[in-house]
Amino acid sequence: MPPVIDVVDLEKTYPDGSQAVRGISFSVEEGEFFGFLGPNGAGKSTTIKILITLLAPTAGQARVFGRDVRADATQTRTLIGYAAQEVGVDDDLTGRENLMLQGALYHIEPRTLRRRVNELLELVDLAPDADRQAGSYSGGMRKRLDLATGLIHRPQLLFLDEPTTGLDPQNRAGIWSYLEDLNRREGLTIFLTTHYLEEADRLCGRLAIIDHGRIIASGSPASLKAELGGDLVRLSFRGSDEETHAQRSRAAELLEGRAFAAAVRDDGSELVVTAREGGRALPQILRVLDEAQIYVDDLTLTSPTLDDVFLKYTGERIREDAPVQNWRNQRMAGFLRAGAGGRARRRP
Amino acid sequence: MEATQERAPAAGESLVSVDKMPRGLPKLASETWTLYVRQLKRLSRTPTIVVFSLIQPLIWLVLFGQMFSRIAHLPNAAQQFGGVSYLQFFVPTVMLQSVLFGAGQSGVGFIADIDSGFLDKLLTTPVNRLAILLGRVLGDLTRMALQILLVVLIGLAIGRFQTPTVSFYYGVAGIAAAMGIALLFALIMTGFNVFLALTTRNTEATFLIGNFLVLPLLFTSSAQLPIALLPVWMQNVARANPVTYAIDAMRSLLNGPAATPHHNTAVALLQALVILLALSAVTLTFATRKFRNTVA
Repeated sequence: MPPVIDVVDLEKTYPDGSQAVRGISFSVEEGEFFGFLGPNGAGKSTTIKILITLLAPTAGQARVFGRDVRADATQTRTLIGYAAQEVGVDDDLTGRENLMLQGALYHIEPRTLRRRVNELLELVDLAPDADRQAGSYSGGMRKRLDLATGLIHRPQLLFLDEPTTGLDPQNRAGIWSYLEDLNRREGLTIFLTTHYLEEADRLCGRLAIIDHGRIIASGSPASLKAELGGDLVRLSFRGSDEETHAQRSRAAELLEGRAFAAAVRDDGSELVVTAREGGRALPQILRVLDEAQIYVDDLTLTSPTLDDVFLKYTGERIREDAPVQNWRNQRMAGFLRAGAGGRARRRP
Repeated sequence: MEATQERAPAAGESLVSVDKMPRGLPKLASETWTLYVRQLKRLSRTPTIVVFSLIQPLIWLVLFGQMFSRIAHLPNAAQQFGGVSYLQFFVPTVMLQSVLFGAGQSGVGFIADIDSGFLDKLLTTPVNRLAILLGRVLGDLTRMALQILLVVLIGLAIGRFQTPTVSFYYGVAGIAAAMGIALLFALIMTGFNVFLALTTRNTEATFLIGNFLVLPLLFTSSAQLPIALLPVWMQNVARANPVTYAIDAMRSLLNGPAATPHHNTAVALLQALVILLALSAVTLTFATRKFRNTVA
């Protein structure tokens, strides 16, 4: 059986010359929860827009269920569902009407559709509010309705483009548990893009880290973090600048080369020790320093995050708060551009 | 313990299959209908749009109708006005004006759907792309048909308080035909506004450019005064202005053949149809192309 998503050497250059995607390849198997993690402007949305048949690639191949998404667009559309960070809901229609409209465009037989709509309203806890206009919904409710409209035809593959951007932590957690349910209980294959580290970490079984239109690392969140070599122990010392500097240098000399410390690095204010097993290394580090009469002022033990992974590969941190621009404006004609807001995409 | 292949009842086979879907024209028709009904529902739920789009024509009819009420009776002008009151002369102008301004909504509605992500949501379904355009245009034409019908009714109502009262030469058939001409013009403007909106992707720009064109179009035509009463240079401009032909045809249909330069309703109607159909073919072609580009 072919993979659910199969992408080979995919490229996208917009008419304005910006290269959003520069030759990426990956595949997603049935039942996977696969994620694209990267900052805004990395090429995540562009890739998803190609996969959901809304955008033509410049080069390369994109296949969904073994079919070319361009050549077999109609067929592809019947198999996939989609929800984006922009909530694609008509505020003048009720929740139920939004679902019925979407279902009618898939030509689902009316009786089946009515049943499916009720089922989905229950699933996303909107049944009591089904006949109110969506404009009166809270942000979290609109998001849930949007998710439900993407599921109306029982897609075999769900695409989510930054699904929780703009939601407060509580609603975000709510959406996460719906998504986990869909993937684990119903076996729905999900492709998600996000610039939230926590979201990628919690939801994705496997992810690709993408930046400047290239995949720079991929694997399960645990394996990516394991590549960093273990936990980080950060030590700081008391005293004037010269004194702490001297203490850090001496401590570094003492810890360097020990079995429990994979790497020792002085970052200018703290001494950072990488340890395969931080909990076990901690007492040993302290014993060594104690014997040398170097007294630790403050100490933290952290497990590596995906941000550290991103940092390792790109030399910078993910910008979680960068502004996002409607992707269609990227393709806007040159004149009168000024009104459409700045461009979020970074130049190479 | 979880059974490996057990799925919850909500999961399972896809509810849609390409083989069972209608094809071609029936598919397009059914999808256009679905999206047209959406527009009607929106319209019925935002009564402010209908109410406010009524206030403007009301003001025009009352103020202009009064302001110029004596012109139509001046000794040398009466004949040019076709022997009717200025109010009655002015009714087709306000009808056309309503569609000129009203068509801006179509373009703006598209931008709203793009910005909200609703368009993308529609595009991920197997919907025929043309149905999205048709559903919206038909919905907007319905709204404007309502608006101009109300203009006619308001004209009749106000006309009751003056002598001679407002009365239409060909009755209901004439009103319907005049509305048809106005809607044909609405189609031209809708095409233009959709093109404008999809090009600028900006609500303010679309409104600004759209409205910027409307007033000059109206004032350099026979909309406010019979063409013979305009200065000569403006008469020349007016003869090149499609608004003149639409207005003249509508006046013939509402106020009788004496209301237009040719004194012939059929000629006025034929001229208007040829010009307006040609123009709507142009703007709709541009709009459709731009739309196909946008969603391709």
